[in-house]
Amino acid sequence: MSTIECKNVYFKYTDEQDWIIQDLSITIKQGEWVSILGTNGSGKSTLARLINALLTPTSGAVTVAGKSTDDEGEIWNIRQKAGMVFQNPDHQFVAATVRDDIAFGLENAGVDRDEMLKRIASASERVGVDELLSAEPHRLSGGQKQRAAIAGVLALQPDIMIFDEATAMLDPKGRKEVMATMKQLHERGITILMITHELEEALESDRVVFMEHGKIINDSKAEEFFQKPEFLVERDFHLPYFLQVQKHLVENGFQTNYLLDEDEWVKSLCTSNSRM
Amino acid sequence: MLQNIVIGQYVPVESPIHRLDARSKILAVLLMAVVVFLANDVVTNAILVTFVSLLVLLSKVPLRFFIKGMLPIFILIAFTFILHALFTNEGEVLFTVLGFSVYSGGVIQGLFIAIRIGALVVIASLLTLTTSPIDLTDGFEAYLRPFKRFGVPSHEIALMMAISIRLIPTLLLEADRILKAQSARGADFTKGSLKTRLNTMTAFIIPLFVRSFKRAEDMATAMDARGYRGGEGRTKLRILKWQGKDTVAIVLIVLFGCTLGMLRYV
Repeated sequence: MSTIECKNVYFKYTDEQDWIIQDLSITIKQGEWVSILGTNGSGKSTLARLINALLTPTSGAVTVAGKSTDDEGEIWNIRQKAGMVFQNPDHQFVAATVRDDIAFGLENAGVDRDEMLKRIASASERVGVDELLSAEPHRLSGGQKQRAAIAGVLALQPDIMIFDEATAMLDPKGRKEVMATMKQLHERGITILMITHELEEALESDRVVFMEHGKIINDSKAEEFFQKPEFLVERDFHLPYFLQVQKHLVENGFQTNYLLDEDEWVKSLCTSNSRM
Repeated sequence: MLQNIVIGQYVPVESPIHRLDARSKILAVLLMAVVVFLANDVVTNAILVTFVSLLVLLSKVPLRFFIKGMLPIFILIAFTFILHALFTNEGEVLFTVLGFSVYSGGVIQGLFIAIRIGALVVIASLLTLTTSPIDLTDGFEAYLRPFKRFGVPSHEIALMMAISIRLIPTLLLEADRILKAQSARGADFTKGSLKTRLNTMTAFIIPLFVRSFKRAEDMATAMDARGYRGGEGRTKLRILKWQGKDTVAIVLIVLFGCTLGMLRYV
């Protein structure tokens, strides 16, 4: 059980700089799936790095499972508890083959070899790269590389996984693969923290946090958040097509609230139509 | 095109030499570097050539890979041969060119030297042709480890080598992309004097460097996030296994050395 807690967090790299994160407080419970939305430079990635102790707050406190990221002795435990998958699949593949890459984190943690082999087998199977263990990175697709990265984090048995725009550089197929993997991890009770630009992806999550200028300006359940699409339209976000249609329907009084599941919406449309 | 790339010189076929531990192969090369210089007459040189040829056959690596390895050294070999042929005054005079008398002893001496250098090159190529770069790295790390107490960062050196090897295809792909991008902007890397060509090359090299630094930074962050904190307390997935056949291989090399030594000195 690992609860993430940020209390009045402020952050900047240098004294002259403006705050990148200012007065940010948020609590994320074990098992939640949280999307963090926001424009470039809103502090999303910084927040992610504050949570797994890659950065420490200038003031305020970030704790993971009750341990402060300021505590030098806990950094490695925190990083093991809160794994992170980055944007560029090529920039996080350290070793020569998938097997060695999954092993990298385990080697760092000093896990012994027999245990390592077991964990590599189970983690790779869970994300579906078990057939690719001996493959070299340049023979893998972007989606496969990202899943290998996920397996590498998963092998460390984390409670929390942070995805820092992990699908941004993938093709639609790779994106689908990675999203399916996330869903599966969520079902297993792992907290998912997903930084994204894609509203389609945010629709999958339980909770949406919207950041602007280093502050959280919205924090609500996904269903509630998408009830006011004007909020997103004002900020130049491109609504998924089925939400755009719903927006017209709602604005013209044909529908009272937004449905986030496309199939469910279509079904409701059909039934209401038959009643007419 | 990158699907078939072979990194380093490694030729992935199955052979008894491929299956040897990287450490025993490195040690064997070092031993052979000494043994090679024991050959000094027709008999020992003939034995040396036979032995090395047998090793090459055993490795199942196509001959052209060895020839490719030989080419850069060919000038050196030819040069030493000519020097020896011209300046050794033993045996009878074969012929005279430009006032230099070429003696039969000189030609033979030159040949012997050429054989020894050639044998060394082939032996060294055998190591890189039959051992994957990663195994080679592990092997070197194993030999460097004892020097850790003298401040040799063996783990760091090995990791650096491993990451460099892993990034070669990525860099090649990127180089190709930049080359095309700059060509599309009108850069021509094939025309003009050496100076203008060097100038256009900067348009290729600078972006390659900038991106490499960016990648290095990202990679360091990713390694940090996965709990990398140096070699201390680290376990290893890849293990080197010294087996019976490795001992046999080393014993064989030593025996071969002794034979040559006996033929030479006894």
